[in-house]
Amino acid sequence: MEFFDCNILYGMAATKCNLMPALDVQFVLSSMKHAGIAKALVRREEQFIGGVGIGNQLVANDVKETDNLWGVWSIIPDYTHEIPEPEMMLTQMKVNRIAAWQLVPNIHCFSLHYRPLKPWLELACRSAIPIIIKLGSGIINSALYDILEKIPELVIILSSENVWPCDRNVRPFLKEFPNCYFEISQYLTDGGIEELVSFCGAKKLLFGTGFHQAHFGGIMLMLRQAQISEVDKQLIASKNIISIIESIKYD
Amino acid sequence: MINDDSQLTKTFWQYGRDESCPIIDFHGHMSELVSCYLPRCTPEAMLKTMEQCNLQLLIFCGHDALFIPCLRQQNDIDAVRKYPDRFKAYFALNANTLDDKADMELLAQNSDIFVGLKMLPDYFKRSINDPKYQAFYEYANSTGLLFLCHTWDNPKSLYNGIAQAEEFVQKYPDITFIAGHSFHNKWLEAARLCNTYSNLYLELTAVLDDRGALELLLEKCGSKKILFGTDLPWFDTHHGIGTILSTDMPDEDRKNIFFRNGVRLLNKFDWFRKLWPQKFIGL
Repeated sequence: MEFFDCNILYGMAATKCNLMPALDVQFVLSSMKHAGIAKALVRREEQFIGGVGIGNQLVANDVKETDNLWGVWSIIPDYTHEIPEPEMMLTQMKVNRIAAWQLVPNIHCFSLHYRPLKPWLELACRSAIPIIIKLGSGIINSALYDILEKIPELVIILSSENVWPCDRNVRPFLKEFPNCYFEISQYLTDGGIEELVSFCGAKKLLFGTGFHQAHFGGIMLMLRQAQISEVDKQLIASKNIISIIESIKYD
Repeated sequence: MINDDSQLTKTFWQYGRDESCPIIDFHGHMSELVSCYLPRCTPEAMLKTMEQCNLQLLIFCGHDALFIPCLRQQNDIDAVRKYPDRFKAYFALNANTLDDKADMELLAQNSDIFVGLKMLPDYFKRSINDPKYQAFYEYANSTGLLFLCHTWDNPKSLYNGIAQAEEFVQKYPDITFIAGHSFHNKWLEAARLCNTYSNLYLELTAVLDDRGALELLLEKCGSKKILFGTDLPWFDTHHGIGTILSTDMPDEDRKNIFFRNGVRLLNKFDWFRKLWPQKFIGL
């Protein structure tokens, strides 16, 4: 089974002291190899604590020469011109191996609303760019519902802020919107994978570990031993995210 | 495959279980919970998970025992009666709702069911050392019961932090105090208590989703006073197992955590010696 980790974070966080930080991309790559993780979508702590532009650039510097990492860029309203303009974004993403955006309104201090994000949301919809959104981290579900009511085709990768079982929050998104996916790094609920597969199909779930804050092995063994078909496991482990990335229309 | 250096990893990876490594989980629950959906919260559904992992014994306290006192812990009693080889229960203590006489009778009359006490002091806003509990502690001290206590000290707790636990373990040396969640985030202080008090053990629920915490506890106190726990039916047992397989330590330490420490702790009880396969005692 090939594993594509949709949630790896690393770097140096200035405002917290991680017990076992993965400080650089070389450490991430060697840790992935040791654990048997083939590919990953990665972000850096500096995107949350440093600057949006610098953080995005650090990720790009790390991934653009690799063949098994893809980067995530933070998106903020374009009125302040801090990141590439919407018309330049796809080219910049392609050059830098960026395969997803993240919206972090509570940390980057903007409103999660259709109006300030309109150019980005329309571009994401046109180009099938996945947007990572962590439920609970200052995200008001109703705000996300409002956006998805306007643009239901958006590709959204939901994750959970913590390990508190979240089916009541996540299931409506997965059922109501065709391109909402759920990344399972914080979804440790016993029997949860089996039920979610039965509820919405394996195509809606994405493997992720939350490394460096979590070990690789917990979610890996959980998925490996889940009582679902091998085909479904492989979809969750890597095929779904590969398909999402291959669907991005960069040109 | 997580970790090529470990034989245990190879077996768990391939089969989901290892016959040479039965598991004892010291931190379980049961039944539904008001604030979230738990797909496998019945005894039968939990047994399914337990079979998949070779989890031989779960010591638990049902959510309804903790939060619906009018049920008088009857569902826990029924579950243990139905599956006495696989489940034992902690007696839920809550000073807000405790009926001194009736609850003591319930505890004492069901010594085949309840092998310890369980408490959520932060939830109930009553300290571990609340005088209301005294008679129960004296009973537990005289009978050598376990005491699984929710311990969390970040933000600093008035009810179940380091200070409250230290006062307790000094006062009741014959109660085995199991620090549920290992004083989450106060890892160095947790290690200090573990090294200082022979009757205090550290338990791993919610420790395992924090990379580096177990490594730190192992470095400071070794593997012999750490007990496996997952909050089942909250968290998938394979997640807990996989995380321990990911953590850098020898398989011998992993076996200490998965079952040897538990066997050593529980072997003083008649019910356990009858229950547990002799081949694993002394391994």
